[in-house]
Amino acid sequence: MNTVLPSVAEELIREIKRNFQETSQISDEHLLALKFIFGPTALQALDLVDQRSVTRVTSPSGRTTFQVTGSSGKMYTCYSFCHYCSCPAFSFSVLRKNESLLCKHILAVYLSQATGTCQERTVSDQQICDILLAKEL
Amino acid sequence: MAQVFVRVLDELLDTSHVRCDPGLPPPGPSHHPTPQDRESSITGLQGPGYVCSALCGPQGPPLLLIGPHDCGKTALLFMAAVVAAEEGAGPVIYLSRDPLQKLPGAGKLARDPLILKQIRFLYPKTLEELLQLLSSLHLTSPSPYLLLLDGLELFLSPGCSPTDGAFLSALLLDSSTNLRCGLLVSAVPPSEVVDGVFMTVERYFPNQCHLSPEVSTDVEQKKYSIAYLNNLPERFLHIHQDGTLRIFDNQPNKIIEPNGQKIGGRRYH
Repeated sequence: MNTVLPSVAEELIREIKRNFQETSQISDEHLLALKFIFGPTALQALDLVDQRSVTRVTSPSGRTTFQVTGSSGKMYTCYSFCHYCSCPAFSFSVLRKNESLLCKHILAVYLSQATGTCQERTVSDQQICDILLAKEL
Repeated sequence: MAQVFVRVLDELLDTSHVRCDPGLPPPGPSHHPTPQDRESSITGLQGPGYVCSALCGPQGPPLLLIGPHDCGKTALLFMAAVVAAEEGAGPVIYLSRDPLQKLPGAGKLARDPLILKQIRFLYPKTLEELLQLLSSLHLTSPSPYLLLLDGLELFLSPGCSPTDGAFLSALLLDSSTNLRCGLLVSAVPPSEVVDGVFMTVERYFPNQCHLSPEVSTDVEQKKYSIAYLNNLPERFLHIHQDGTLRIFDNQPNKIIEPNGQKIGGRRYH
């Protein structure tokens, strides 16, 4: 996801990626930093990454977006270029309460990209319209 | 698209009227923003509370133009569409809930009327129609060069939630960034001081330009200040009764008292 987080979070994700490429794991130090910056969302997002819940969806036109299977099995859409997730936590904690930087699904997108664990799926140009509109497929 | 917008303001700039007001330093190159100043000042602003992080496409970062009704937003957006179409780099998509009733008169006197063929005017009636249209922009070929939305607030009815505002803003930004096309959006802020939906929209657009009415005794023209959120030098927009727009770097006929207080150009909200 090519988005700009607050610089400290952005740097951490970059470091995790660099470290993961060398050691194939996320260090304890980085796990603590994730917990420090993102709170309980960090652990929930790591769970989603472990379960390979993040899928990068691409259509032949080049349009891309992400789908994340939540802990309840429900599928949420996270945009590629902008912080938006169709889950209720994003609406409540990020938009309404302004308590969090992002929801666990968006953080899972960042972490799955950093760890190279993002699934890939190609759909038709028509199908991706429905995914972008977060319609149930 | 900030860069096209700046080019529109530059085209409308009235250089014949620059006057040194008492108390102001004399005009000179150092008092006029350079193109570099403009570009650097209207790019890359990030601050706490912003949830937007859309990348800048080749045409610069998305821009939200905010101002009251009848302050020339439609004319400025239309001019941006025309200027972008003249550049010939690709189709221009102009979105608005209501069809344009007349062509706004501004800018160069002689323009090729065929240039309008390069602009695709689309009039979605509801938020759902607009979202549908944005989600399928990648189906249009060739890809748009500039996307304009006039009157974003008209798609957010009083019953809408902040999530609706976020969804629309995010889809606009995601679509324009994915397609690498410029984005210029205009909106009228709500009259109430606090409006959750509009505040959410603003969080997605760190680059904003505000048009604010100036107190004036002039009955022949309406005057507005043009201010960016990030301290780009203020400019002034004058709209004549016939709809002609003119831009000034300094407010003409503005009187400055010795203590520096403006008399003719006080801004109110």
